[in-house]
Amino acid sequence: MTSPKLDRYLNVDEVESAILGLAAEYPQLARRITLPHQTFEGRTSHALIIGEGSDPVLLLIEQQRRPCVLFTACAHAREWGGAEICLSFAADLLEAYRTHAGLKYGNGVYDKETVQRIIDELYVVVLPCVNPDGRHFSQTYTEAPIETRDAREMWRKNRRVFNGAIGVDINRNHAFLWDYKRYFSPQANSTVASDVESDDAFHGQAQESEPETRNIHWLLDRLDKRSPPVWPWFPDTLAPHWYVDIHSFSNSVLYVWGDDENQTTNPFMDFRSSRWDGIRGTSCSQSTPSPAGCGYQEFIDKTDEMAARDGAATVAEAISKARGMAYDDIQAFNLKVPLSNGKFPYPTSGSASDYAYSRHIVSSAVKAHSLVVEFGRLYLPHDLPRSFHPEWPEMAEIVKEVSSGMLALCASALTRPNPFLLGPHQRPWTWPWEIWVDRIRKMPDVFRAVSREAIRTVAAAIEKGISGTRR
Amino acid sequence: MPLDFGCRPVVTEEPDGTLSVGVFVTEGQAESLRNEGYEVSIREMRAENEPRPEVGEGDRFQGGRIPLEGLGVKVHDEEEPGA
Repeated sequence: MTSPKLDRYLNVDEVESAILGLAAEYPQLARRITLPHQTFEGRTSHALIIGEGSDPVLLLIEQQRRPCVLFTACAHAREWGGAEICLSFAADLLEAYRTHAGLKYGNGVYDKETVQRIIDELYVVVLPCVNPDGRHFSQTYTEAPIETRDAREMWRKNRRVFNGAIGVDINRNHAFLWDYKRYFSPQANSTVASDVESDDAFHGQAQESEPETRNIHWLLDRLDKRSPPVWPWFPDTLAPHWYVDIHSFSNSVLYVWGDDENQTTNPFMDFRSSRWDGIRGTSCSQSTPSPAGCGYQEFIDKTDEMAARDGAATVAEAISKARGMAYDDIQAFNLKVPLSNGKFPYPTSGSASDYAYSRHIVSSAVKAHSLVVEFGRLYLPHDLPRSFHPEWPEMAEIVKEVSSGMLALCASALTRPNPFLLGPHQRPWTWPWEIWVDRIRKMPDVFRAVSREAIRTVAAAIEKGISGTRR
Repeated sequence: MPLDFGCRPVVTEEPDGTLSVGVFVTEGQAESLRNEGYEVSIREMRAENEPRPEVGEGDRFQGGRIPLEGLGVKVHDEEEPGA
């Protein structure tokens, strides 16, 4: 049956059908995952995991040794193109793998060996539509009276109904410095979050209150379970996962942190310390320093910052190469103002990318380096709806160039880091007591897992021997 | 007053050297900005017949029976990668 061309945006039903179709077409390589939390309007979201092996014995052993690259998109309703990017990228990878082909996105060319290795050695997971209720509302703007169409098309949040207001900003609802009035300076930019229900950046009535938020957390937890079972104690020595949240627009690739400027020298000045409550979120490099000054900067392990910078640069470079559209790679907190020398701070609380990276610091989760891709450019004169979701011929070009960046990131994730390069967060004597409790609690599991792993290894060796004899 | 700048505010320099930023506001918010001394130029609401981004109708993938094809070019051995 001939596939319809991807020649316009996908509605929410088509997003689900496309996931189902890819899982059905490539049963040996991809599997659909049902996310457990239904949206306010009763929708169930799905993700696609690529890289499931077909050999059951290999699956038992190898599935627990691969890093994952997780892409999520469309947390903000009006940023339609993220779903098409994720699904087109997944379809490209699967088809190229099966037909032993390389992939080409404009000037970005990737050989077949790279494609084969990505599927053989990684798990690539796409969650194309985090917020289907919001997407549906935004995409059906033509059903609204003409005077309210623009507002409906520009919807950002999910569709939870409160008394007199609707919607929570999913990208302010995660469990990272969520209570912004406690953690951030009153002088911090209003982009941090809002506790006013009608505001676009309303962060919800509690952290992780929204099913869409909890679905992302569930997915991250699940990917962790693919780590070798002995590693609940030593997760930091594993190859890290990558998490990329896709948004629009501003032609940029952002790396952590988003709450304040990075610093690499004082591990005690970080988001866990109450000593710095009330002064986060202001910039030292603002041309006009805030009255609160710049007393706080967020600690990041130096090797992690290098990895995050390198990852952002890899993605930005690959996107730019595809058709020559320049993308910046910058820390999420800082926004370069075009044509000016200064910086415009853009602090955020409760963002998905900060949450994903912070998990390994506050628990025994496997480290996930986090990036945000902001695809697409501003259409002048400040045509925001067109900037968020450009007309399809332009969006098709964006799909290709961002796919090039995604592929480049996956290729870079194939290179395993040196597990002996441990930063301050990885040193047991710097662990907070919560991590000690967590890891001690897991000790019996570790011993059981070691036994299971030994049995599996022996079983695999026997199976391999039998197969060899049969041949 | 929290304003909707989109995911990231994008600031551009106008020919006269002033900086401008795109923001999505209600008429009331635009008026408040004027009262605070900002120069506000309203982009008219788009006309009903102006081209809008197209969204698929129905389900072109028939519940998963038809697989989606990606937009990337698949390069096979016999082809030149740069072709």
